[in-house]
Amino acid sequence: MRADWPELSDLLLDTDPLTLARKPVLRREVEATLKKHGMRAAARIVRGIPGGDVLDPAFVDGILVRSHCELQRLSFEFRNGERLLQLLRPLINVLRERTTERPIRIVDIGCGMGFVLRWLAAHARLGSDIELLGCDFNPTLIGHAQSLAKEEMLACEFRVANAFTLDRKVHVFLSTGVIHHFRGDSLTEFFKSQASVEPYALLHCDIKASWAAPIGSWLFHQARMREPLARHDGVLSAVRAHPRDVLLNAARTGGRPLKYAFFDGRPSLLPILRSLNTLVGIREEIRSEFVNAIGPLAPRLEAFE
Amino acid sequence: MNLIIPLCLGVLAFIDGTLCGFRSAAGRNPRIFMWHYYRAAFGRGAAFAAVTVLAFSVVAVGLVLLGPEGTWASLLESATVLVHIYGAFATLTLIALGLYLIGSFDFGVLASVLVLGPFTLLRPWTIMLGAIYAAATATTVIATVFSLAAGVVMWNFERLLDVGSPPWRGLEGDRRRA
Repeated sequence: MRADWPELSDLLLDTDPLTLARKPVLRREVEATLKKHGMRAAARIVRGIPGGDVLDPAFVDGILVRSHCELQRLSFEFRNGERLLQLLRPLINVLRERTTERPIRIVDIGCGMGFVLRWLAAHARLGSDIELLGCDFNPTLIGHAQSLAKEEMLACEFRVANAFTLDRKVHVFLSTGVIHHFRGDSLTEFFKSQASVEPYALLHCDIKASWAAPIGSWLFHQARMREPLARHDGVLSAVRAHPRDVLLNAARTGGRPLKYAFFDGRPSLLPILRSLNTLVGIREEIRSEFVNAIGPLAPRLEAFE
Repeated sequence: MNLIIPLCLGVLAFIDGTLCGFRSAAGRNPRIFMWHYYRAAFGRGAAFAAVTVLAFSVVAVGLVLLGPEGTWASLLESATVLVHIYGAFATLTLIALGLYLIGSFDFGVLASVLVLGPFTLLRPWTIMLGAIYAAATATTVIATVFSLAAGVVMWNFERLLDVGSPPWRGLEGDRRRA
């Protein structure tokens, strides 16, 4: 596997970025891309998808839903809700003091079936002045997120929407396991789009690039996942994880005026101890208050630039 | 008659089966509040394990009563080998599980990364290698076959449970199943 290989889940879903309408995915185009990169395992998965020239969208949705269920199990195990909350709660406390705008809106970019927001709504007790909104381009995943939130009476909302063109003020953007999907210019554009909305902060949690990441990812995806696509893309995600300098450069190039730093981003001899890291972007005027607010976690946060 | 060793082996198989019930159910339900779901999954694994342990116990008693002299001693020797191997594996797993459940955030994740994840992959191989070693060092054919049979059943335990754990088909699918 190589970092320039595309993730299969990205190839199986094609959405018009303006209308958000789902476009048919042509089998020959997907197969040509896989052949170009020599992705034989992924090609086998695609061969198993029914449909003629166009891949059966319902079958693809089934694969994606099952993969997201399995991914949620891994997120539970790695405590991704708590992981984000340890930075989000102090950030919210700072925002409560520094802005009179209510509600304070937190938007999860590429939320899938909305695990992180549903977990926060269920366990974090953030307060009634906090609005949790998840955005994703996939209507099936968003539909399940909405149904699950409704069934469990969780105070969060999900929309098929572009998170950067919402009709409401966004105070905090967050994401988990999303940022490695963007590469090159689109990564810079990703930060530019966020900065254009003028949020107070960004929290992007993703796999930390290291020699151990692909090994650990393979191990956990073999042990915990059943869906071939989830196993394939899970390992590829670790291979595609952005090195810290690449991510920081993209953020600082496209995402000004926010200041950026990594939480848990320092390279270590034993990267398994901190296998995920969070890129934090923050407005200059609340930077020092946020650093003070995270208290004992501050040594794990690098200097903002 | 030494019943401690067979009892220990039965308890180990029961714990393993119960955890298999959890693993078989995990990753198939995207809800947040999962206590009832996992309680049922643990229960299913435990029930399945109890039936399996009971079946092996009945067969063992039958073999001892009807088999040649020395059958009990040879079964006991093989069981002792299995208890040592599986006991060490289970002890490490349960310590890690305890650390995961009651430890801090970092210790919990560490327990998962170092033990719970890798041991899930090692489990079938540990079961089979333990059974093969017990079979190879057994003093009677009965003990050899019994050890291998136990290994094969435990190797396939989670797969058998998987048969009853279909993939999630949405909330509507849940309601239809109910």
